[in-house]
Amino acid sequence: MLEVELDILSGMPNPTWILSGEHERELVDRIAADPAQLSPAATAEEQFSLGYRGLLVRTVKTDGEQRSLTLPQEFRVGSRPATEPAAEWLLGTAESYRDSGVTDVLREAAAEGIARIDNLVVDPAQPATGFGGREQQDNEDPDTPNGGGEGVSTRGATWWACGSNYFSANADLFNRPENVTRNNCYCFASNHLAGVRYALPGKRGGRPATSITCGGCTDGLRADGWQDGCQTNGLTIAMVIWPNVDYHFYRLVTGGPNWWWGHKPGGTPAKYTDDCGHAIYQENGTGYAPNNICRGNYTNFCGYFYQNNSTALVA
Amino acid sequence: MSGKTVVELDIFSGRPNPTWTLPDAEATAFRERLDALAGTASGQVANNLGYRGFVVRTGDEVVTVQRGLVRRADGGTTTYGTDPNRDLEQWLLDSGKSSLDPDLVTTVEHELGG
Repeated sequence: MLEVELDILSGMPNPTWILSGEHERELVDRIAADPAQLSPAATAEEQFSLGYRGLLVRTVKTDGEQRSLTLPQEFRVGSRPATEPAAEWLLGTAESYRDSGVTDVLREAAAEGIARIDNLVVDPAQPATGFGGREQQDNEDPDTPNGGGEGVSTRGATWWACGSNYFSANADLFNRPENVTRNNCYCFASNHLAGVRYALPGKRGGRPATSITCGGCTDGLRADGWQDGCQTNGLTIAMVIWPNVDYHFYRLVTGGPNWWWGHKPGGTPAKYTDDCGHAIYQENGTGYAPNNICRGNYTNFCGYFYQNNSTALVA
Repeated sequence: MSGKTVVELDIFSGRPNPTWTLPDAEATAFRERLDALAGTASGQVANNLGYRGFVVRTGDEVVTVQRGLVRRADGGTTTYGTDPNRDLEQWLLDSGKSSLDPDLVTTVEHELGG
């Protein structure tokens, strides 16, 4: 069976309802007539603000029931243009389900259309306003000049107080077709177009990381010249770990007051947003830094590291 | 289409992603499944951390299979298709299960709703 979620609220749970067999068949027909109106449930390229974000449809498995054979396991509808939008019809089906939780207020909000983040807003070169349109939802404060976040003693010095960090919001450079698949997260963090798809901390310095832990990869970073304290006109990065599986990096790309960070997931495009779509910057001590953003399985925050170069060579 | 068909599980950021080569019979089966998919006008491939689907390379063609979307890029041509119920994604996972770390298989199966 299919569950529909009206994606519109931020803190409270979104309204959901289960489609009847008749409605499910009609949805399949409507989607089949115009499949281009589907989009992934979450994608970095499609980011939304607070408010109506379309409808999420997912297969809900129950004992003994076959999964839908004609639709993706989960998808979004309503965020792409369509001649006969399935989203409008789908939202209308909520009236048939007494407990859907879709109120007139929500219907009116949905009728105003998709609340999308303008891509230009998620750009450190633009004035920062409102965290890309999203509320800060995490419990942990960002590491900030105002004293938020965890203690800095175990995670590197205070990057906001270095005074001479090197900044370059150059995701576009790393995202050129000739570069994007040939440089990984460590290349982007090091601001080095090394053409090394799998750059590894310590390999350039002769002591490759021996374990995928904060300790193991930190040893590698030090071999590559990264240090714990501020460096003159230097790069500032943060390292996180998917324990025993993988490492990932973020680079500070602008200075105060917004302190934007960027990162590059593997061979995919570099960006300035996290896995929840938050633009990674802050205002007046609130907002996002690598310590409090959505990082998926990369749960271990290892700390901040510095190098007195605008490019740190990696291999 | 000629040459080996190599599948990459796109899941890591820093480390090398796991890859494996499809035997000829499986490469043919993959091609048949791919050609049978319905097309769609456009699509957007996500670049989140963690599981990002599969990338299948045969000669100059690069096929990305991710969350119900299939992107085929060959030279300067890019087309999109839909992967109903993520069957092709599941099929690609199955093709590499014997060589993949069981924890990674579990991670991907969780993503696929298994």
